Amino acid sequence: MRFALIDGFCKKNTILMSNQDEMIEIEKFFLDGYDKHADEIFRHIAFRIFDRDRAKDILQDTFSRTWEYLVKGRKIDNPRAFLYKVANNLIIDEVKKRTHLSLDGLAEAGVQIEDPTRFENKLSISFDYKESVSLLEQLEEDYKRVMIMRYIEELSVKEIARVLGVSENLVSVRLNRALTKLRNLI
Amino acid sequence: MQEKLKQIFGKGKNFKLLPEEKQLIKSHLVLFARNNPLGKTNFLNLFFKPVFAASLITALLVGSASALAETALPGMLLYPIKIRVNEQVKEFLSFSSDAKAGWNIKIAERRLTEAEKLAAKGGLSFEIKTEISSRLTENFERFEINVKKIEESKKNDKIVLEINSDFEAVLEAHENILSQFSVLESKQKQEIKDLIGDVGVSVKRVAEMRRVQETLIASSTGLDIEMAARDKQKTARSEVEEAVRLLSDNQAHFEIEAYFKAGERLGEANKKISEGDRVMSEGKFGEAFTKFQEAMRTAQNARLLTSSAAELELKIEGNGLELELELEKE
Repeated sequence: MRFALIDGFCKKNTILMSNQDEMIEIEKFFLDGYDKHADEIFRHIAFRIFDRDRAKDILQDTFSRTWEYLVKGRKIDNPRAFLYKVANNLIIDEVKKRTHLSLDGLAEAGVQIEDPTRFENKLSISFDYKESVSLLEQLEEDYKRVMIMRYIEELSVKEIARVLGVSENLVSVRLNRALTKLRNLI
Repeated sequence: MQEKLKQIFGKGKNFKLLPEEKQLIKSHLVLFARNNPLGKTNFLNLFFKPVFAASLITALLVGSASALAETALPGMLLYPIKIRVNEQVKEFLSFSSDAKAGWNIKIAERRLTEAEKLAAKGGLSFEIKTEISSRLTENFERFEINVKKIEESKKNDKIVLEINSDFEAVLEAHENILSQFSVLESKQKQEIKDLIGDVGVSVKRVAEMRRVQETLIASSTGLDIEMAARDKQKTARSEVEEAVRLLSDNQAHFEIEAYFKAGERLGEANKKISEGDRVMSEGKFGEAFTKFQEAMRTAQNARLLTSSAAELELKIEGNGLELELELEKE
């Protein structure tokens, strides 16, 4: 009986050991994903909502939801695509909740746009990006998304399609429409 | 044109997290992960991996206690973990003042729900009431600081209005629930009345802040406010529909008179939406925004009242309360 008990204990702890190993693996996968993709995802969020602090909150939420997904035992084949998808859903919720300050809105609020320091303080984005912000603001969310991925992250149409889970043709159409809209502004 | 775009957007690639920001968020995520571990992990097997034992044991022990503490009430063993670990960690993990203010609203809701659960069991003593009141006051002060920061940093009156409006809806709903308890004869009647008084003071204060924002927004013009009003119109309609559905699903928690009163309130919310539609068609988008926001607040209030009644297993009456749980009698 004693041997049976010992045997049972060893089997149980083999199972427990493998659970612990699994957790360590998941945590490593998760943190590697953070190290690799955090800047890119943060940049994407920030250029969609124009708010650095909120972008950090949303980045954090993106990764914490990803963690919750992983600990339910689910697999992520394409971490980058998954992160973009989670971030995009959070961005859409954020955009619906608030109207971000447009440059017109800033002017109405009495902000002197020519003063880069005031611009920086209001949106926590350096004056260097003023032109990018100004152009992106003219676009609907679907076009903004592909423009950021194409011209800031420098992803190919194929890569964008893969990340968004849509056809390359649709990505091309959106890019062309965005470019048409921006043509008169440049 | 492609070259020009590459030139403009190319600079965007340099926009990134500062190293200390990246590390801070990573540490937040590690804390989050340790508080939300894989379900099957057992403490015993940690001893087989000494490298991780020290930090992981602590984190998982805290993690498990942290999860259990979520349901703790004042006076229970794990309640300090709920307050000092769970809640403070969550506030600490937020960067923006919006998120922090949102969390302040959640904290107020948690304190008031605790008071109601204790009141339902006859356990709202003077000491516990004093503790809850004190925490509500501290939390309210932090809320005001966070709202001030939003005002100063973003100058976005719409966000400030929404946050104040949400808080008002929460406080009013819980004031209503507590009032249901106050009509009963019990040894905690005075404690409940005192708490209602405290909540009432906060309601007045938040309502005052909300009115200031409404006045500013009602007169605002421009594309921003038009877009915001149109979005708010959709959200208000969804909120009212959701509140109606919830009320209908939880009819059993209302006496007939109270049920019809709640239904009337939602009818008023719909009227506000219609008024908002009308002024929007006249181009008065600022005024429309405030009307839709008011409709949302009414609907949120009704929704919170209904869900609290369901959670506490109460039966809301027009003038009193019939408990499905037994109260301890004097």
